[in-house]
Amino acid sequence: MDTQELIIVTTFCQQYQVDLDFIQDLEAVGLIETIDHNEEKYLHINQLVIIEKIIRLHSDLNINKEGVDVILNLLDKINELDKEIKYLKDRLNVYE
Amino acid sequence: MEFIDYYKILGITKSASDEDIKKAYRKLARKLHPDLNPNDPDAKIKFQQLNEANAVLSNPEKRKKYDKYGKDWEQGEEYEKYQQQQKQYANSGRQQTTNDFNGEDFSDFFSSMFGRGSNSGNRRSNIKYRGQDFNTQLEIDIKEASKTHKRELSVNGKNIRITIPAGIEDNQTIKINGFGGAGLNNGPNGDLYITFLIRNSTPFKRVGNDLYITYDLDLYTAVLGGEITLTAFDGATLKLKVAASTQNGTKVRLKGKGFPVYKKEGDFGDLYVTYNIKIPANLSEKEISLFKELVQIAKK
Repeated sequence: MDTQELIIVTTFCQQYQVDLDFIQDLEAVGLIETIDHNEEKYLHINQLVIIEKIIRLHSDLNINKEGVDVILNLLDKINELDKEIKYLKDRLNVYE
Repeated sequence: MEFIDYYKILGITKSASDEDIKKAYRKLARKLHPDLNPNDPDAKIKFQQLNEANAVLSNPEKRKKYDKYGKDWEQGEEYEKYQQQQKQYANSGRQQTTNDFNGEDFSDFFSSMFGRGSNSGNRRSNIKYRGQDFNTQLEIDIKEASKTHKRELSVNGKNIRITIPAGIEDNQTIKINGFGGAGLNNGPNGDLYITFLIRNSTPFKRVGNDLYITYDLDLYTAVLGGEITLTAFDGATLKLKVAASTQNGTKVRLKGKGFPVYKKEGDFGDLYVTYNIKIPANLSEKEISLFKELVQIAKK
């Protein structure tokens, strides 16, 4: 893996002004994954979008980590259903 | 500049208590938050207005000012400024009011009324923040969507050249990293999201990577079998063998003659041809006579 794609967790916490505990809790709940390398914890850059979303939901709406997990799962389901509706509409269109 | 009715935004009356405001804000924030409404292009604006309404009405001083001037706030503000200037004159100009903040998260209406951003205690002020994500729509023809091509776009005055891969789907959104709004306090730029709307004026109907077309097959070929030619989506001529006794609505699959698969060069979906058997009209006397003969044969 390209090390340039990794962000040190403590640096991330400074930039986003969140506690290290917060990131550790997110990992404990299974919302994010960190990578251990040379006794340092890193976040992959691909996780930035999801962590930002979690921070927004947590701070803007006062939603706890378990609640955020439920929301993210439901949003995924909505997304899948939207895709299915689109596919079925296209199929229906063939017969119209 | 349009007047924004903050009470209306929060769905409360002018007599609402602080607790009512807090409750209304929390309820609406959960409903309108952009992360919970990813398919609503106006979600960010609605959430911004909600935050703005809350910022004003939950602050007694700002609420008082807002209530005082109401929809005539602009004139009221001018009058107040004039009075202040008069006072400053009287005090030999020792004081001057300054507005020195950026207030990018607020509307022009808010900024005009309360200034551009001082916001002491605003927790965002020192944090590096990613810039705002931009969303835009791009309409392209289905023929264009079937070929990888480059397109130049103008987004907020910036020209960007993007490559649109063949096989892009209707309503598909692609992300262009770093072409959103500028970050705050040296934060990274936001991203640009482009949603493609695909126009289709061809006789082909698209479902995912597959294409569907209806072919009008003459009765005689349907009965006796034969060969037909049809034009594929890419303009190629396809020769098809029609089996004898082909029924109306028969569907034939032509493997790999459909739409290109997104980001999989050389992969194509399938083309489905549905036969619509045309019954001959305006028959000659001889044809009618022959059909009658056929009826007699069929009865035997």
